[in-house]
Amino acid sequence: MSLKTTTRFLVILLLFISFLFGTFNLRAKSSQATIPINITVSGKLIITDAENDNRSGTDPTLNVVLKLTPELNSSVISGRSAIRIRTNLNNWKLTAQRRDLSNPSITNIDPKDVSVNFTTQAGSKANPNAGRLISPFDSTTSLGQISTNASTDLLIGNTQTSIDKDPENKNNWFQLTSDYSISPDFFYGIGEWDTIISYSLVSP
Amino acid sequence: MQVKLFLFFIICFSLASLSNRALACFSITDDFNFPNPVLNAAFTIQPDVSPFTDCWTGAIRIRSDKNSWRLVANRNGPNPVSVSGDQSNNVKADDITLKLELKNFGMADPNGAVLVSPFPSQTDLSSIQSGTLIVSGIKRSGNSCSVNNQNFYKLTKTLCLFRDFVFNVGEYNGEVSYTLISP
Repeated sequence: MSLKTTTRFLVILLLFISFLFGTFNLRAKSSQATIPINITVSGKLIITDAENDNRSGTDPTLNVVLKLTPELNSSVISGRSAIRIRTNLNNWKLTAQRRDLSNPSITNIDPKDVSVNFTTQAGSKANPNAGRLISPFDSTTSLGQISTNASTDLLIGNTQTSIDKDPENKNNWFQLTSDYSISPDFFYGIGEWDTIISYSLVSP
Repeated sequence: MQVKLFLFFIICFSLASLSNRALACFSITDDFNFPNPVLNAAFTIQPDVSPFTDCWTGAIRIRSDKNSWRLVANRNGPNPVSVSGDQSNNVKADDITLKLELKNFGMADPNGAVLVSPFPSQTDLSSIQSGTLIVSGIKRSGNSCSVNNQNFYKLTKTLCLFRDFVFNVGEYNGEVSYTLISP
């Protein structure tokens, strides 16, 4: 066998081996699919109107109107608002700030004359201990306790509001109910007194 | 010399062609016929008051020149990465619904491959563990072995995750790998 023939044979053999090697590798390599799964869960803080607890009820404006006419032996006039809180963050708080719109000298109404009682409750899939009312808001107090100069801490949360899965996000709410009341005293002048209380849900 | 070069290129072309045949005859590709595909399933979820479900869909093509083949899967995770909070509130495999659909294309016999229980119905990712049988094939997908041949079984996967406020904030990583094997 000449050198030329031997070389030709070796080249063909080498190519054949390369083919087999390449083919086996391709068979092995092409028989797999990989699906990396990456899930990122972002934090959320949301307030809704308890009476309209869906997307259209987020960041609500709730009007509380107290109409009083002084009368002998008449009982206090009261009104109520309720908001629902949902968050998946473990560190949150609800703050409040008051802004008086009317001149109190017309009616003689002082923010201290409007008493307010905060209560909390939770939906069936929420943790009733998710948030804790801070003194003095853990018992009946007055609007005078809500500062006009800075945010006042009202509710502190150290855990997320959900306690169980709720795919519809329907029953995982933590509710803050505010009951406002004022006595129909003859001391008050005729007129209107308006104030706005802004509640903010924040995570420090 | 020119004849030798011509012959050399013919041999190379033939080998490449045969390689493609081997690739196409027992292979997994993506929908673009790219072998050994990596399909990233990414979810970025932020809960809201309304019920929202985020879904991801991906597909692979299976070609087999063998009458007996199987598709098996292995799962890893999802594992929490820099997540704080009660561990019971982490995103887990059973929170991710899984729907598989198997369809034949071209000459692939519609009865040549079936999804193995529980995968004919919607299930969740925890159904895939280690070496879990997903598809049982009893017929080859066709008689063509070109890399772009249209005879294949297509497996479409849909993963869904609902935006629940219960899930701990953070990142979770996992992986599902599918392997085509023949006894």
